[in-house]
Amino acid sequence: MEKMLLKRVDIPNANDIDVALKHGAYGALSAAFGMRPVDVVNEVKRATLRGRGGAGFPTGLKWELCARVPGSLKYLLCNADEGEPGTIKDRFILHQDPHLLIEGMVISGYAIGAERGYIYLRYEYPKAIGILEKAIEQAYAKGYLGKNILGKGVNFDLSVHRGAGAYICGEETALIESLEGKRGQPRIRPPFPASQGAWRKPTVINNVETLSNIPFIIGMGGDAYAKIGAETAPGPKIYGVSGHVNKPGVYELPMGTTLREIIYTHCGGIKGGKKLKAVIPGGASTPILTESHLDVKMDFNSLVAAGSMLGSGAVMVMDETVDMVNVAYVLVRFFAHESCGKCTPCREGTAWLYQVYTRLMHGEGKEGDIDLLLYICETVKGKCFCPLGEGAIQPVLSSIKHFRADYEARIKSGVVSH
Amino acid sequence: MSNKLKKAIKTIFLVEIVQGLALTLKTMFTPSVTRQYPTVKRKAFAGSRGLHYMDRDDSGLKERCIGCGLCEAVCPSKAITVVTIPGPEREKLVASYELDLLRCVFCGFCVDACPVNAIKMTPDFELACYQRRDVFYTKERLMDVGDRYLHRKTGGSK
Amino acid sequence: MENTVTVTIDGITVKVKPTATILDAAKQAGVRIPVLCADDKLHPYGSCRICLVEIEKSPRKFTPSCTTPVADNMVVKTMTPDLFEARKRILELLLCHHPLDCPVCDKAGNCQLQDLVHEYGLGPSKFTEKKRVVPPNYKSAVIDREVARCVLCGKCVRVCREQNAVGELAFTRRGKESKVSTDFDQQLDCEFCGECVEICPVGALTTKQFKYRGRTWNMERTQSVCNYCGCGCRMVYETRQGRIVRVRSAARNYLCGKGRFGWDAVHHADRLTTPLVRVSGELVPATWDEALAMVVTNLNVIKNKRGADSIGGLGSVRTTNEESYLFQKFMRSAIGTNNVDMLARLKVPKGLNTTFFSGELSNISGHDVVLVLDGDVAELNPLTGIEIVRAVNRNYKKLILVNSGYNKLNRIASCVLEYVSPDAALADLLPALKSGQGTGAVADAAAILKEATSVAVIIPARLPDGTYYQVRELLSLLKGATTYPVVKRSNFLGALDMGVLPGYYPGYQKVSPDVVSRFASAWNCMLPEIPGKNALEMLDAIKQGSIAALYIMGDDPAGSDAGLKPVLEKLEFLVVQDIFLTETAKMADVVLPAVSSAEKAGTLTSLERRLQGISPAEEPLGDAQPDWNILQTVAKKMGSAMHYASPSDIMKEIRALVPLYADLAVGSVWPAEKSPLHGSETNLSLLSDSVEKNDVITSERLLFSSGTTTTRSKELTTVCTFKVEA
Repeated sequence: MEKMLLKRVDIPNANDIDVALKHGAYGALSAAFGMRPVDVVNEVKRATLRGRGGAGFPTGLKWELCARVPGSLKYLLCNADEGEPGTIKDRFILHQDPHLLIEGMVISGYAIGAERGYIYLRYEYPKAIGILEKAIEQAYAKGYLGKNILGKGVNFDLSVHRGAGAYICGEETALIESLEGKRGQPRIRPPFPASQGAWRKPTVINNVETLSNIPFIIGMGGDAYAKIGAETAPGPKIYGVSGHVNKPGVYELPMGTTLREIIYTHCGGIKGGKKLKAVIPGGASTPILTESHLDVKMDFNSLVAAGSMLGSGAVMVMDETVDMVNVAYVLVRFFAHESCGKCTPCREGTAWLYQVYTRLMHGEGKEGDIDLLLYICETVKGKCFCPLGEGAIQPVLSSIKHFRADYEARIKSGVVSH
Repeated sequence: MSNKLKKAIKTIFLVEIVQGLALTLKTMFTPSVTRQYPTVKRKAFAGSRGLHYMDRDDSGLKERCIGCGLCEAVCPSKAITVVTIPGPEREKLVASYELDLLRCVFCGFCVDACPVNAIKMTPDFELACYQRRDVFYTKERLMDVGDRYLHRKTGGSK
Repeated sequence: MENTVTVTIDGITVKVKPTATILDAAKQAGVRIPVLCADDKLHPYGSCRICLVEIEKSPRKFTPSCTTPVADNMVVKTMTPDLFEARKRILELLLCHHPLDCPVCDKAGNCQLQDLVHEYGLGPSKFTEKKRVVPPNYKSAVIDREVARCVLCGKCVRVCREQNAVGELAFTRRGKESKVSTDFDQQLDCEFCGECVEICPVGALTTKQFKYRGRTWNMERTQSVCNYCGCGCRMVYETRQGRIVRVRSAARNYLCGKGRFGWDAVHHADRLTTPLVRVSGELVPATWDEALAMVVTNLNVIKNKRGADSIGGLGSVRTTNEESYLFQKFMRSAIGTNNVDMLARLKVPKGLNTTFFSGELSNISGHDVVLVLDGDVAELNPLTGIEIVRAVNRNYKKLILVNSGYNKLNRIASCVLEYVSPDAALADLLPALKSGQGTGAVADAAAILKEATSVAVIIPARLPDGTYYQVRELLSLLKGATTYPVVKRSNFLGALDMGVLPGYYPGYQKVSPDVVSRFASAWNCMLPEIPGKNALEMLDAIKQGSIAALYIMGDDPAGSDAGLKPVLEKLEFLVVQDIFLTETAKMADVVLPAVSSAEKAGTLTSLERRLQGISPAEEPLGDAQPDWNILQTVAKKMGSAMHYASPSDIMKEIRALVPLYADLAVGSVWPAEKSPLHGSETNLSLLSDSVEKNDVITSERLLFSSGTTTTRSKELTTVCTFKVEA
């Protein structure tokens, strides 16, 4: 497949507007402005684009909900808080091709009637903030942002807001709270952001990758776009592969490429010719898969059928030498650290899980600890305020399900590590 | 008529008196059932509920009571009054713990209610006293009761 | 569009508003759903997850009822085996790091967590790891923070921000380390209203005042009303062995710091316990008989020698309606003069209860816009302040604020007019409203006011003549304006209603032959027919020597203004009834010990004109007696027929003689239109431009400032000193 999203990534200095323009940036703007906003929304709906942030909500539908709300003041937020462990896809766009994102945001803003946009950038991308700010400045200078863009009477202002280093702010309502200057905690829904979001105004929040798809949908038309990749969720997808593969990195492939193809064809197989033990298909909060799942197609529905989730498409590959207790421990430590502390199950549950895993890692495992872990997961399950808590128990549940032997061995041997 | 005769014989020969004296004679050689209270006292059964005492905490210097007031709450005859105050470290101090034995019905609910086993009961039931004020047991007196009962020498309070 | 939706909760079908949550619907259906973090005072938050319910045909197994709005034909189950287990698990999680120190926790017995744990019958926990040790924070004045007991429901944080607009408490840190704290973990520096303590479902926030003073189940409770300002907040005295240990707000009520913590003045060592009489220049303790004999003899001598009008009476705003009524009856029937007034009339806005009748405070949030002409309103009348904040924060109404300084209302105002005084602001605002002149904030304010269909106008306590007419003009320009005058003193309206006025008998019945004869026959005595002198005229008369004796009930003129000392010294005879030896009492010839509002029964009338009952929580201290009883005894000794067994006897007489109170139930408001003075130009305030220029006792008092009672509250003093240091 021809690269779309990562088309300009390999071009040196593509984050400079002149270079980007030479390679087709902002090409879809005038086409979009030639359509009515509602047609832009319909085009995206025809493309059946689903959000690339993790939940896979149909983007067109989200836009329509917001566009329908009366009122002139609306906001478009770009979620660039790429905090999911293992996820590196957005960083490439932010670093190498910010103009693609800006172009996507201008079109999206036009479609939903928002004249104000924010890019909520994660704290841990210090390099990106300079690049983005420079790109926005250049776009303003060239008239792709600001008042009366391309002389078509479209206004769109854009600025970057840097987060303060909280994973939870990748959750859209927590992102809004954080943007408003409040404590980064998810907000109650309803009202949904589409009707009352930032500063109680209608707001659309999209992932970097989602927004970057927009210029192509406008460029090639929604119907053509819908033919790429998987039927239920078409389009290109950026997979960020890390772990024990020969060529880890970011790969743009059609949605629905199988795990086997990603790992063995594109990433050159497992490092050192070892056996594959486990794969996390979509970032830390998605259930772990095993070798038997290698032929699963990497799209939203297929992965759910296989008992996991596409998430952000961050594939983490682990070979046979890996101890899954350790993997779960590291992930649980992350979630316990990142739990915002608002709701009881997540705050206390992740902390409890972490305490039990710490004990296991110190060789102080006890008979019945596996049952205890499952008990805690059951306690947390289905009761949390936001998906963080639900995500936090996935590594535990799936690692116990597929690799119970690792746990039993650790409890029995009492090996101390870390 | 034989009945009359028998009765006459019994009367003449003092049969019943002899029988009675025989029993008396026999009883003279069996051990007595009457206890010479108060010189002789019966050993209390386990679980006898008598005078209360206050246990000391692990340091032995002060009461074990933490002033939760559950004994006061559970007391059916309102015999107990607990007054607490904040101490210098903002800890809960038991300023006074008063037990009015005139009201107490020795039900032992206070002992059951105590979450730290501070208030307990001795089997001591001889509680008569000469002065009315002696029936009011303060925290210090209750601890002294405990010291006496447990034969402890840690008590410093009077 | 239909206005209700039908919801079935545990088989009970109810119709509710579409905006209602499942929890609201359940309340309406009479189904109890356990909650920790939800409260009627606050926006839903959804953190505790105790209130989970099951909704039929929902993709989610459990749904939080406090945050989920109802949908039509929703079928909800609030108790199933799964839900029971789920709630039990949540409670187990909450108890993981809870210290379980119930025996020493002041909340025990009243703790929602404790109740729930018992209800759900938690056994031994599966949690066997190490508990977190979180040290308590005792650094703040008044409020202790037992951080370890906190369940992070966020109610304190939210009540502080949403209801009070103070925002002193906030969450700090994250995840398992989150805690409720202040900026940089400093001491609390807030209003110390104690609402956070009241709303805390567990014992994480406790007061220093109540610390370890008693257990909730040992308390006896007495419903009463706060007597500090005119708001009339309902409160509950909690007593243990006959002594007050705590004051709490009545259910769904609010109390400020003064109301909640200021009661301890009742136990102050300076309280008067015996009558005092002046013997060779010194005040010495005396018996009631001695003191009353002295009062009666002296008053009779002066009355006979110089006439009844040479005696004046100053009433109080702190006494009950019954006592105010009896005071004016005593002055009019026993003494025989209409010289009866209150100095507190200097501290109310002109037009109060003639032009400006207060609406009900709870209606403030129903208006589109709240226009605050007195920036200090939240401090003078805290409940009014709360209602203003509620209008903005809960009902998203607009607030226009006239304030030269900066306070909490500035934070929530849509538009701030920075003017030194309301008249300057109105001078700009009125033209802007009329003809659209004006720029900046004034133009914004005018635009907001023009759009509004109903406006709540907060009338400042100090309203000079010029401003009074400006405000009247403003009211004529606004659509649906309701006034809310600031009334600083507690029972001021009650005292007015009871005729502690030289020109009016109770119920604003003007001194006229009809009225006088009606009262004379009811009271069975002769009554003076000419209006008496008002408070300022009385002071002048004292200076000129035409008033020789003054009977003061519960007021402290010399304490408010030291300049009045030489005036009072001119008196031949001064009687003071008070609970403390105030500056005025120190000058008196006889001081009669009265009791505080915590020790007597009666009624008060709040600034909303609401009749409210107070009940005694304690026995009178020492030989002190309620004011009504003192007055009655003095009157009897002076030959008047007064035989009241209790304040309710007096109330019976009031109801018979005062049409406004004839069938006014306790707890309800008398309608403004019923007042004889409604819409008249009468001025019940003594404050006028000339008075203000002469600078006679108009000193301002704010919430924690000097006052007879507030300065004698130990808790409030700690706040004051702390504020000065910081």
